[in-house]
Amino acid sequence: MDGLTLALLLAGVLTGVLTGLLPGLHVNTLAAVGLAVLPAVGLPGLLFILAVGTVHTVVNILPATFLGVPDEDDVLVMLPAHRLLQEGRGQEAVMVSAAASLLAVLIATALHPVYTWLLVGPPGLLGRLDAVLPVALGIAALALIVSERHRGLRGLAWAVALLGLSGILGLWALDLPVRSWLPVPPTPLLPLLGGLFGAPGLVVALRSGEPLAVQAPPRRQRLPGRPVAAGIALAGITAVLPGVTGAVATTLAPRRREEPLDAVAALSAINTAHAVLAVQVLWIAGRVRTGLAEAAERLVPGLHAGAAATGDILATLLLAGACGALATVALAVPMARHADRLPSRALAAATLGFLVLVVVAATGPVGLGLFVVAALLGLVPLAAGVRRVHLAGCLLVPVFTWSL
Amino acid sequence: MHPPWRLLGASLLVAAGLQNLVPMDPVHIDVADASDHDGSRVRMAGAVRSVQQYGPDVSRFVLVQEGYGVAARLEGPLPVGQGEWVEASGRLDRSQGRLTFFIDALAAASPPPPQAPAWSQVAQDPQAWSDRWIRLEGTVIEGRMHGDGASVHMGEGPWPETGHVAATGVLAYEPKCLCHAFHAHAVHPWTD
Repeated sequence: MDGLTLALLLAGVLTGVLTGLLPGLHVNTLAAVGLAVLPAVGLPGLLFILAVGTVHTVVNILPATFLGVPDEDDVLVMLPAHRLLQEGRGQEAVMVSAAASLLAVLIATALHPVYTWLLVGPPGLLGRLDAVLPVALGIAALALIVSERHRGLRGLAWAVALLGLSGILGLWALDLPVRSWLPVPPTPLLPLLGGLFGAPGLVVALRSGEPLAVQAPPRRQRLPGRPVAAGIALAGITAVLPGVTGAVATTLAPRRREEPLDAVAALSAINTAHAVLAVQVLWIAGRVRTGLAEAAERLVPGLHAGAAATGDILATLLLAGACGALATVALAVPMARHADRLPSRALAAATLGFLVLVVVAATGPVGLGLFVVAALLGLVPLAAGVRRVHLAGCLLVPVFTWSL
Repeated sequence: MHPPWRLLGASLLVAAGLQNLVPMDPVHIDVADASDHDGSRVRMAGAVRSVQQYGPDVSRFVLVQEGYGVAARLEGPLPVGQGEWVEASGRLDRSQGRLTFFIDALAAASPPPPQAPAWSQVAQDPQAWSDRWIRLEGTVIEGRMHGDGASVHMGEGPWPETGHVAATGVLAYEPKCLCHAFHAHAVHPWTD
């Protein structure tokens, strides 16, 4: 790597840390902004974008955990992570997430030759996996509903209702004519997911004014290897499937409610591995599956045709993953130390205000209306005493209908 | 916390209000503005070129208008030929990273009045006149249309074997012949 490339790489790491701390900001939005402002510098620009994106997907566990505001991919990670924060184990959740994400980057890059062989070699999985998707999504939806069985018929009924209603909301939202005032493609997912998963927690915090629990120092934890390995394997499949984002990939993960750290580890591993493997799918098979991969393809058209950049790309992913994990762990310490002393009402109000501002700027008044609709629906599971994870129907149902 | 039914009702009420206030019909845009409407449902009109049929299930082509083009995808066989003017509605989205018009409905439409460049202008800079709705007058001889000392390869269209014609359609670069071809929507006998 030459001096310019290394400088852009380090700048990418720093930028990824900063953007990862902003609540609600998704890596696809970053990739679009990056494309708009980056000069056409080819491979160094690509490495910058990859560094930003990889670090961002690791660091964004911090606002998801401490503020309860996830971006698109972190909606399901946020739920157990924020619950752990409320139990005083926020730092533990963040460290497990960072470790799982780092492991995911290491394994995803180390297994690049194996992944290439599986996709385009004799097993030829690239074409065969598309048929799996409707079945997998149906099973995931059923699993979500059945997880409420301990609350009886009422719990099951609410689970079905929330899955269905959020699914209809997701389908409806995609046809809304949102307009962006920023130089980025508008997406209804920002107000949809910000409203369903971000706003309700902030509204509750505003009303209750209860300070966060005192955060205990993290206990020495063994990384739950099996959930992480399962998460990476699942991401290897979902990175290939059309229409499956990191967020949808996390809804397909099997989870055990009684082990929130396992859920945090598995979901963090899926998120990070999905982002990293989607870039690999681009240069193995020329298929674009994420905004990050799309930005990569536009910066270096024909990336998949050449192996010359492989070493630089793999090195970037590894370096960015390691830096992202280190930054996350380092930042978690002061955030956890001061979490209980922060004025929770003011913090919730500021975060909610920031989220609304981003929604309006990125999606206009129509997006704001969608945000309100989604936020009201997002409060329903809190009021009904059932899990908010059923609102993932907003992602599952649209992808299911497209996959048929 | 309000009861869940009240919150649900409020959500539905706001959604109904939004549905009534916001025009849900696809907005009509020019092909030149397609990238500004990435992710939106739109209607566009333009000429068809570079048609590729992937079996009976998928048709891909480029929709062109005033020198701009956007990749288009239609489920099923394309009901029109190259050089035809169409109006289509669907969603603009990304496919393999490329902005693509996923068409729900497409029909032949009345074309706008064509521009009428001189043969010398087309010959000097064919790329500038590509993907534009133009009218050329000339003579058809052995697969080429001739006029004013220049000529162009004839693409698809209701071309006669020979004769003087006035043709309306689009000029497009064809990799097969490493040349520009004129795909005609309409060809009329022309007498000077």
